[in-house]
Amino acid sequence: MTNEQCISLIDYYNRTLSNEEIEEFESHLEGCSACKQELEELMSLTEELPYLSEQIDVPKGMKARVLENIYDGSTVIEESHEKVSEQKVVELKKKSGRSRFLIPTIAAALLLSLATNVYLYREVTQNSKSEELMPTSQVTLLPPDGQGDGIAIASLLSAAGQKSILLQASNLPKLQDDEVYQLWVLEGGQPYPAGAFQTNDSGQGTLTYSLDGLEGDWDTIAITVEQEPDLPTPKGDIVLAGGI
Amino acid sequence: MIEKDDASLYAKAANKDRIAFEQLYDRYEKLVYSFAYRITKDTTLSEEIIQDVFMKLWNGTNLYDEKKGKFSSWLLTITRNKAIDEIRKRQRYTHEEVIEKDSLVVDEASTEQKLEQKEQREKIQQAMSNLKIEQQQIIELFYFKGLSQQKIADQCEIPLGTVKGRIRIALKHLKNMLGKEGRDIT
Repeated sequence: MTNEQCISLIDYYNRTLSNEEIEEFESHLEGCSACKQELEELMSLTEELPYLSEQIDVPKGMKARVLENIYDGSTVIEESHEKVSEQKVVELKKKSGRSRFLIPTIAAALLLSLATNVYLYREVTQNSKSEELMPTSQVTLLPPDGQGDGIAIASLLSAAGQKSILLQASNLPKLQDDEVYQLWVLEGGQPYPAGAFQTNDSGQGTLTYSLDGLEGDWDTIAITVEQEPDLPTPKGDIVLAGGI
Repeated sequence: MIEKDDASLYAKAANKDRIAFEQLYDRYEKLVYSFAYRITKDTTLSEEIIQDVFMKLWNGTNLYDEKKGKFSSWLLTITRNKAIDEIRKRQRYTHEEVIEKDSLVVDEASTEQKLEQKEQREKIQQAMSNLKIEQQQIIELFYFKGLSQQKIADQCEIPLGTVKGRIRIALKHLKNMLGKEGRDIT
């Protein structure tokens, strides 16, 4: 009986036994020190084998997809992340206190350009053809450290009950090939990805992003530089930010 | 010290620290994905496997106990179990598949990999390539294909009763080869 069970060790390790056989083997394992020892030895001897796998490039965007699915529905905000966010929001709040009268001239030009984009956006939005596209709020994004010429105008838009964000940025630094600008909407320090974009050679970039499915009382909008688009949380530095 | 660091990152991740969790993800993404692909030969399935593995880690479905060994070994065991279960469940995989000789001695490591993982891979590849072809084959069938003892016996044309012993001998030879290179794998 014992010998018959001992021979099942390989099949137990390789998960080829039925549920009933697994139960039988595990109860055998309790009292068979030889099998216990062999199983431990097997685990130890195979420890390095995964490293034989030839390294292959992971699919583009896999991390974002995987983490989004994992975090989906998760309401827990971890402490350290909260601290990071708070730190960033403190920086952002400083900027959001700026008087709107201090907006540079380029912002005025951007606003005009943005009005055109809102019109164009309405034209291409099927569901809003018969609805008025109303900007619910508009935010000027500036460098949080006051350094650099980058500037962006973000408009939160509403049409037929659907919310979107429209962004137009100028004078942004040129990115490396594997980098993107990522837009975030924040509520109480918790960031949510709201689309990624790249700029042209002149440092200009535009983005429209549907906020359907993203419910929140947004208080801040920020742009970071990231290695991958739409990560669940920002990794890179904030280049522009503004309070709503 | 990577292992110590892994354990502390895991402890934080278990408490829903996303920063720590993503650090662990970044550290093992390529290795776990490559290992899953080595078993399944399917990129879509490999992505599903990595998601399942890290989902279990995040949700605390599988708990790592530092006393029972290295975090990386625990993570890779979960990966292997999931990969083997999936290929059986989906029946995409024929257990009668003939091993390509090319898969028995693996190419040089990618320069993108983290140094420690790269060194580990180079050492074990070197050690593996020094084993007899039959020993490489039995390790492949047992560990990467996850075949039953009977199927290993059939493919290697050896008596069923000798399979376990041959697997152990092949693995011990591999360990000895690694030992000669000054690597402690206990």
